[in-house]
Amino acid sequence: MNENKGTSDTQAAQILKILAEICEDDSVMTDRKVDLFKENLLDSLSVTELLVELDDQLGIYISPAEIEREQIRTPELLLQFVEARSKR
Amino acid sequence: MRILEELERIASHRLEGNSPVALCYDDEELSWLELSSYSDRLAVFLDRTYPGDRQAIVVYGHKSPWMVVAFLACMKSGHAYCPVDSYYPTQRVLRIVETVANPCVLMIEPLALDESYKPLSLTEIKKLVNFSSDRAPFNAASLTKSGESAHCSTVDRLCPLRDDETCYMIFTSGSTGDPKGVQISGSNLWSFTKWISDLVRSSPHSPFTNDYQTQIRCLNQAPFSFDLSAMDLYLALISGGTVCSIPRHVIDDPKQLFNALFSLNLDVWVSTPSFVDLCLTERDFDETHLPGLKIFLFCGETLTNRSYDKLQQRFPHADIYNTYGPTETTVAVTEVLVTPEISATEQPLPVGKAKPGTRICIMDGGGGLTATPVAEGGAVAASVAVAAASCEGEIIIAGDSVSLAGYFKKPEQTARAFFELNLDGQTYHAYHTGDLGYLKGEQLYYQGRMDSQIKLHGYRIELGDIERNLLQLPGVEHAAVLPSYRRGQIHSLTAYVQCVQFAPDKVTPDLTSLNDPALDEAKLAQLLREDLAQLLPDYMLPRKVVFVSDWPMTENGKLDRKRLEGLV
Repeated sequence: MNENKGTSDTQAAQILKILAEICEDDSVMTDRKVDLFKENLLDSLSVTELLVELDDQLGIYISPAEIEREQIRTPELLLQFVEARSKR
Repeated sequence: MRILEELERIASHRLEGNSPVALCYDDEELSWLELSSYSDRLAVFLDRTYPGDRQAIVVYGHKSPWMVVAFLACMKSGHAYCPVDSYYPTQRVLRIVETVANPCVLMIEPLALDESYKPLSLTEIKKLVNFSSDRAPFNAASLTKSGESAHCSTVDRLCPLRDDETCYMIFTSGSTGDPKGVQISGSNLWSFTKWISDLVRSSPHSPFTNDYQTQIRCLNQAPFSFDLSAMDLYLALISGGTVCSIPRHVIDDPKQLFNALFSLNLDVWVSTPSFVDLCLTERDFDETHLPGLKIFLFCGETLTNRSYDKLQQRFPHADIYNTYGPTETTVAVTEVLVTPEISATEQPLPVGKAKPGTRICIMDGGGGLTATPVAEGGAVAASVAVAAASCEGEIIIAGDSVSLAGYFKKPEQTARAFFELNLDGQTYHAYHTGDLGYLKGEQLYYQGRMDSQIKLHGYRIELGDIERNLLQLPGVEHAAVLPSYRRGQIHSLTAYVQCVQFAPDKVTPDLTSLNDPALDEAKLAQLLREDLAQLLPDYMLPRKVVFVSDWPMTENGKLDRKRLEGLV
């Protein structure tokens, strides 16, 4: 269990790094409650880019058809969503 | 006009019995019979109402089949059509309508125009052409017999466009903030259409079988105001096939998008590389789920090796083409069938060799030219030596695809961009693309722009256009827009703005009704983007806005773009 915890922490850091790259804004790594869509950090095109990077860099595949904006509205929600996905 | 004659010829084979679908969009469809009859009737109406008039007509709307009815009606009655997408902000639409300055506007979507215009709404158009929404069972007899005989003689008396007249006009981003209307003639369009249709017919995995009865289904991704759409539209129409349009709201919703893609039975894919990148994020986007899909045609931006490799793995039995061409030279003028071997050895991928009737030249700094040989029937004549590798320079396009009339009502810009070029004793109409590239044998390679025009997700954008529009916003004193890159490709745009008396806590009252002390830079940026969205199409909106208090200048008083970038 401990080992898993360790992995997911690194994974969380990696996901946030990817998110920051896509948003072109490092604040999303620290401000985990920011509304990514409202603050114009993400839009439909960049969500696609995010999915590509998650798949390419971390091997986490999420079909664009199964993702709702609400599920990834903040960095925190994104992390929860991806974590739930990678456990499956 | 050749293209209309060819369309009539193919249509005549599609009118009998149960006329097949020519255009499909969401849950709307128009058969070949309907397309043909309705466009005839609308043409007759236009001819009667504006006898002898040959001005361009704005056709406003999105991807409805009625857009195409309107396009054909315009051409049949001697008018160029000017497609304007309803997703454009109203101000930009109105500016185009004013520039075209024809009181007649065909509104497939509603648009508020002042009394000086005499627009026709979709409801009126449908009434004029006797459209019956009761299509089950569709009564073909009413169209072909009673309906047709009533106006047959007038259809025969129509005076359609000639090949040397402008058949469509597409407005592109202009560096002064004023969109430029590119005028494409009937002969330009025919040269393009014949080439792209021959290319698909002779492709290794062509969906066409020997008989010309095959009805191909082509994807229409781009709006009609983006000339990439002419590739799928005319390829499908000239072969008597079906144009499958995906509306914007479906493209924006991945669930609906993939449902649509998987159910359209597509044979030919036409899109920007960016759009296929989006589709590749879905793992089911492959030949198992789209078994009919045999041809991919890309235009609008260079296909990257990465996108090609992914796509080729998903569709190992499809032919994937990279093409290149600015709006001014009719959609595209080069093509290359990319293979895994090419992708393994060439980075970037070539954009291809010139189509028949077109010659590509590279103009080096000293004005020297390296040209591709004359292509005959698609093949290079054996006796002509292939040009050696050229050095880098401006790509010049010469031949029958180059716009005859240039920019609408802009003689100076037309004179700067278009010229007569003498090559091997022959005179060609030629266009300065402003693109940088080089030739290796007959293959052209694209390297970027000489000016501040960019391609973002396939859309052509003048950064100056965005800057001029930013400056129109109250309170904005200086504005610059710079692209930001990821993996060597433009990924988004950043606007750098200096506002009058800007301070995060004391904002200029012009920008908004600001009594709100909580208004910080992020909010201000949001407001600015909203204001800008009233002026520019959304693909041109900068993703980020950076406020600058000290506008960096170089020693000779020019904006220091390098230092601006460093501010982030």
